[in-house]
Amino acid sequence: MGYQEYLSWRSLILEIGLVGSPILIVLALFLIIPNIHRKFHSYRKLALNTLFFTILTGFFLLLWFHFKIYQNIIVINPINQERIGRFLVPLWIENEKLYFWLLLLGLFVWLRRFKEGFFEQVLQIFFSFFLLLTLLLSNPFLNPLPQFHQEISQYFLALSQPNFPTLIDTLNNTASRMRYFYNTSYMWTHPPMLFISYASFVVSFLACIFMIIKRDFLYEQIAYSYSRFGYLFLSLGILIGYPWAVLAWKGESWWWSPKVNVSLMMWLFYTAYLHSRLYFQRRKMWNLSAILGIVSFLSLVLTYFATYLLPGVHAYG
Amino acid sequence: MDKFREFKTLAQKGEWKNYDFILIILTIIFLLSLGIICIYGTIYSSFTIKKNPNWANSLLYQNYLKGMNFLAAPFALGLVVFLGLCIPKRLLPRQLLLKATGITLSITVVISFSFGLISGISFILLIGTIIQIILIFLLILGKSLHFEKKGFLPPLGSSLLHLGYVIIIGDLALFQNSTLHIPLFWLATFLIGIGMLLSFYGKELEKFFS
Repeated sequence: MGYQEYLSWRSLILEIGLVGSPILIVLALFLIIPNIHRKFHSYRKLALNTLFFTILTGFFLLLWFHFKIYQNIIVINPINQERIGRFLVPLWIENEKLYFWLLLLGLFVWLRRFKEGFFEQVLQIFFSFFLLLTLLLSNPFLNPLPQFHQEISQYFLALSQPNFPTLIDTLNNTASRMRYFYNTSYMWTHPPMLFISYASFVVSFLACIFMIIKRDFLYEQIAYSYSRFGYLFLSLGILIGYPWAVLAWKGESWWWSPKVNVSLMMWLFYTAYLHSRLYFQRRKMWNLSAILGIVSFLSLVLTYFATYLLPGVHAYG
Repeated sequence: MDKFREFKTLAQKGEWKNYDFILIILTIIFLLSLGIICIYGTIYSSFTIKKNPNWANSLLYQNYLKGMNFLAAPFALGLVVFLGLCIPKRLLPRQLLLKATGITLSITVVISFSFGLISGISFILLIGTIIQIILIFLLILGKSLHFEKKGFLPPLGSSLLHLGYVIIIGDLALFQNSTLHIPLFWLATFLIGIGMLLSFYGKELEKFFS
């Protein structure tokens, strides 16, 4: 049902991606220049607004693509013509996840657009750098949802060449991926909450570095305000994942597994950081608090990559 | 820079309470220690799985779980004790608090040796939960209690947050195989979520509503 329509929407995303990606690269560079060179300083806001709204437009394009998937692809049991369901593909999986995270980071940067400090300049350069990295490593427009595409193509291929055992196998796989991965409430809550926290922690990480260099109360406040926001989502995101893990990994060895360990470590480090800042006015606590903020962020980076590099039930490498 | 110096001077005047500070430092040390144990667990399990892909299904994995639990337990229990020390400090004067804590810990040790560690943990968690619930009621009734955070919503949030943590630790330690496990987990998650919201944004919410 609707495979040809799906392919045509996918091709359109690819075509837009081929034009849009170089534009995003140019806009990212366009944001770096006024933040480095005083002569172009007055173009900062224009550059930031243009870049942020272009990224937002890209996100809406992906949203529209996902809506078209929902609208056009209906999985049907070919034996009894029973309707199994539609795909509610989340916008933070496969090669779209970094783009989603970047959009959130962009939102935080954009919300600080009226501040004129050195911190905001460095933050905008950081943001541009991450955008370039994302486009280079995981561009969602140049290969939209590769794994989903493979799965759905296999399903339609099996439908077109009826071989009973293969068809049943493929149908079972597709239905189970739909029910237990794409359409689960867990996939719509746990990952986006973590990405919100990750984006927030980037700002707090930078503020912690500024705390050590500049020793200004302002940066402690920035670090805290973004950390508490991130910590709220991090804690709830991890907690929401637990009941799902109990169900989905029943009988599997996941307790104290590598990914669970690093996630717990990150949460423990951020908890330690938030406790340390209660006494940042005390001798040496200023530096301890800032260092803990930095170490916590490094543990976040490790946690993110652990999903791809470390073995275990939570590995997607 | 000036503001930082101003705060430093405030600190040098000794306006900060040592007791609370020591508790916070100990909490940080214990949290970091647990974090380091997690790093160890990550490195050990990753290398072992790579060497032996069937490790997770073998008896060796059960030994690893026991080993990790053994390593983490003192620090996790330490945090429970700090939580136990932290909660009633809002109700009692310091000397009385230390005495009460000493008595509670002694009873916990006696129960642990007589009826097993699980009973000891259950006792201290139960005490923590009861005190935390009393504290929340006192706060709602408008009693003046000692809190780091000022106002009404931030202390209420902090209390709900700590209650959530006490319940979650108890749930994970005691109810993993019970039908109550997931409902208790959701209750704790709800308390932690509301607690964090009020604790972190209580001041702003109070300003907004006033």
